[in-house]
Amino acid sequence: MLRHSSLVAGGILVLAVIICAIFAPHLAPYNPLVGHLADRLDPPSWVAGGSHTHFLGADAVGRDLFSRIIYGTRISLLVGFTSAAASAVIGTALGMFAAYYGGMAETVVMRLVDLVLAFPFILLAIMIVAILGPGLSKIIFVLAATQWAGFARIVRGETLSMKEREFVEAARALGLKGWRVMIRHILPNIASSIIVLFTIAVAVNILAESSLSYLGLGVDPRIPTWGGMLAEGQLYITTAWWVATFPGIAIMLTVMGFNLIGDWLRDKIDPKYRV
Amino acid sequence: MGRYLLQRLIATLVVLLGISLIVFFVLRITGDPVEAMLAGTTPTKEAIAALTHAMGLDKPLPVQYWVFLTGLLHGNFGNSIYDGESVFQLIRVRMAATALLAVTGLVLGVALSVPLGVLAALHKGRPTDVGVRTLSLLGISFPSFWLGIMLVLIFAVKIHALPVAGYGSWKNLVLPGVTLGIAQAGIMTGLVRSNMIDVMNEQFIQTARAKGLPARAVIYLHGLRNALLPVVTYLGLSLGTLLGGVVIIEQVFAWPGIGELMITSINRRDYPVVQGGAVILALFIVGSNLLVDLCYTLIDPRIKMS
Repeated sequence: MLRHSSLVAGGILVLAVIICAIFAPHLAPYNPLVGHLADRLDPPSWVAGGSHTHFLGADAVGRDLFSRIIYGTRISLLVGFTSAAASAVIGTALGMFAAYYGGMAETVVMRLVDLVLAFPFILLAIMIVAILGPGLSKIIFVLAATQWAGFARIVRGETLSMKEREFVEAARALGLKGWRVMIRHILPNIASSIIVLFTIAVAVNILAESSLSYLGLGVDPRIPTWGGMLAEGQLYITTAWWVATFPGIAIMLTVMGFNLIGDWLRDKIDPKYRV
Repeated sequence: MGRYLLQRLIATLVVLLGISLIVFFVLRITGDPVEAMLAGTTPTKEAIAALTHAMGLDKPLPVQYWVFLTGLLHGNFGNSIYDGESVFQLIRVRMAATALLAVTGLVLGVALSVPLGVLAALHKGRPTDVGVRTLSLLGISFPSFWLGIMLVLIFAVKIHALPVAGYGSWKNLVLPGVTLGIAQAGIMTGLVRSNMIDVMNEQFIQTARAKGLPARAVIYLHGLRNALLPVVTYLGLSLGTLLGGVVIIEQVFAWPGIGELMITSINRRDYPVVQGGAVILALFIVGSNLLVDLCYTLIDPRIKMS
């Protein structure tokens, strides 16, 4: 029961976020980019003296927080999914390649993995953004460039054990080329681990994107992002608690959704952790 | 053993060399430091050329890299372009602040995660376990800087118990330390829990129970000791993650650590400081990975020495 409840809870959270991202223009009561100075720092509607028009209050230039949080789902999901997918593809390809061929190829790939894992991610991100300038594609590039190593390490380990299995040896004995053995026979057998890693990577990347946006190294600051909203909110922490509170809750619920699904998948695959 | 040691040392050196290369070349294409230094003035061509020459930036890139690398080997990290101070001194001072924050966070993280993880493992499947798992899920789901902002909101803005930001007294350390500690505990609690569950299912635990040892002795002397081994490994290997977390938390609390120094220096195009800082951080991380590896080989002889 408990196992399934985490899937249900995670599924509901993730689905809600996806719906917000797709139907943002229909769900958001206000334009997220336009502020009304008269509504500047209006408190949420349920607070004493709160706004009548802004459910979660308004920010420092009078923009509706609720609408901005709904639009914020777009960047979070886009960055989370695409960078996780890119790092999964790169990491899986390199990890399988290293394990399957061994020797020099393995040494080079694994030293590269060590290199990336040894480097503080945030530092690399800052340096890359400093060269290329901020922007959506650069953020995705930075995250993919730092996260593939995690995939490569796990995939290599799994491939090494698959390589010794009889069905793989049989495929090789039949004269199949290396890449065919990897794609047709090894990949389907390690796919479950990759899916678990992918789910966790989406969660990690959403958190990382919010960190970068918070540091001012994210996408165009005019686009509403949860991290950017938090950075703005911190400036008004003494007078307007809501500006820095709600975007954080949005991040937490989204990331938790992906983590819950990841947990459930891991339980399914590795019965050791079953309750 | 000697051969394994040598192999690991060589691999470590290769990684460090790679990092120094990346740092060097990445920074060289981010922009001209001379331009950044002379920003706001209307320099003559001669002034630009003189400054470029004085800083050695007119030499070919490989020569510049060689100068940088041989400098490192002599412990000479150069001087800041921004204020002329010795990079080594700048980093040394900031490193102390970063280390203080990182160690505080780590200690709090261990102090929170070990008891919670053991508690959850011993009550596996029961409400205590569900509670701890929910807490640790929450801990890995919110961004640490948001937790920091919320703690400021509660403890500095609402009840005025602690300062909003700054450095100097122990009061300044409380909020950033707790923020980092909770973030670390979020990751480590699940690890302690699952290791403890594994260990408690081992045969040597049954043996200990069968010979009549009190439950407490079984749990702490036999169970926890073995469950903590992978946690220690994780701690060593997660130094990079920890330092990454520290960098962001330093921004939240204006903590004058190495992360704050590096972000400022990147904006100033202060190459030597960023280079030195990145190499020293990487040295710490790679060094700790090597140490963990070696310790583990000593502790657990089943690990192959190949």
